[in-house]
Amino acid sequence: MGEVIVITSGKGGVGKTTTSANIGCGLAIAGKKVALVDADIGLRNLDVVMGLENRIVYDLVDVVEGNCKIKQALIKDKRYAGLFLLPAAQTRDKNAVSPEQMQKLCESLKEEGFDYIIIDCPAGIEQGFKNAIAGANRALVVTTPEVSAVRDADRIIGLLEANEINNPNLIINRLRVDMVKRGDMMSIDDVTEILAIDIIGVVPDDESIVITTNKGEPAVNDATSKAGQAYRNITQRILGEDVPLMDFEVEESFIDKLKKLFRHSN
Amino acid sequence: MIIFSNENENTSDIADNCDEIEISVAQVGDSMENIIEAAEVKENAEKTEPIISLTDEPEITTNKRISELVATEFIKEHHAKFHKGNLRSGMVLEYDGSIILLGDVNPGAQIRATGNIIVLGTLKGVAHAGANGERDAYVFALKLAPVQLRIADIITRFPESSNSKSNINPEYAYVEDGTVFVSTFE
Repeated sequence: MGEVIVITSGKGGVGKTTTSANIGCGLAIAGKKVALVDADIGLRNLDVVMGLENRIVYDLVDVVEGNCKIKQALIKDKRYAGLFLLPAAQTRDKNAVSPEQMQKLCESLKEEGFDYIIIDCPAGIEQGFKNAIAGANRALVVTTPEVSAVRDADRIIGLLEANEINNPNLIINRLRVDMVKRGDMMSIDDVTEILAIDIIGVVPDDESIVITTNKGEPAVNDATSKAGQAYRNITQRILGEDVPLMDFEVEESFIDKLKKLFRHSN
Repeated sequence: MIIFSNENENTSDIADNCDEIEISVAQVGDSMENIIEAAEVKENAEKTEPIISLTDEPEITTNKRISELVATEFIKEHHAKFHKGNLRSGMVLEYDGSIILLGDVNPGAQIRATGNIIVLGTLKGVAHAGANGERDAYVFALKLAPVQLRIADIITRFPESSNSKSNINPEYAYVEDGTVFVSTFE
């Protein structure tokens, strides 16, 4: 029986869509049948990040309203066997779908034989959020090491628990080890201390994410990308494997070394 | 007749009122129903004359004739909606007839007409001409780079355009033998 995982955060711009795309691809690479569902109706992005925008004919709202069959709306990603995208409608809003309809949709996706159904949740805690979590039985909360994002994540965890989605996992995104070392950024421990949920992965701030996102190719497939490696680890942890957290020791640049030397000589 | 998703349109602006002008060319025997329909769509009737008669021949108004005419394509062909302004992501411009757009269609926006579509700007979103199954419909744009193009029941994807942004290269897409072709406009 398939598992429905919602990727949520509360705050916008912390990397829900990027995380959804990468985890979806990662699971597909691991040989699972995955459906990526974009629940951000009216502000869809997942199709763009996946590079599948030009193949959309039907969307989630069409499926829910019965204009098409679910198979017609699922876009097969030709690069990864077993990966499908159910895009959101761009011309409608969150009220076009109800939580009950989303529940039904998740059930019918399970019946289609998907191992994992990844739901990309919109920012906020209103209708879109309620829709996205309606059919989920597991949640991944994405946050960045910023006070505002952590605050919103805390609120989201409370709402998830109120909706009986217990034990959500945490992903800390865009961590900058150099800033943490200088004490300018919250550390992993700072974040987990506040949120007190199990951490499933830490993704370092990585330029390659911007590049891969713009290209429409998820970073998880990029062997050289540190963020890609982090997402591969998260995928393995979702599959139940025990993978240690990445070592984030950054290589110091020549200038940094010089600066250090200079500081010491003072 | 027209569904336009942007509800926040500023109707107080006089310039805006001129944006959407309904032009109906009354043909020989054009049905009264059509003329009335066209007049109704035009809300600011006092500013423009929606009906231009090209002929002095009397109208044929027998019921049989009207029903025949309603079914023919040329009536639709001669209905065109003018729209001035860009279509941004999430906006839909729909019309039962042809559309002439003075502006761009951005990615994520849709333009859909039962007739032809002419974009005097860049077409980057989704365009659907001949939406009721009319394969003779065509799509013209000063820069044709849609995410997806549909003519009648045929859906095509466009290759990523490598043209520079400033390069204006009028092209039109049409259907021949069930395939969409793109041709430069000469």
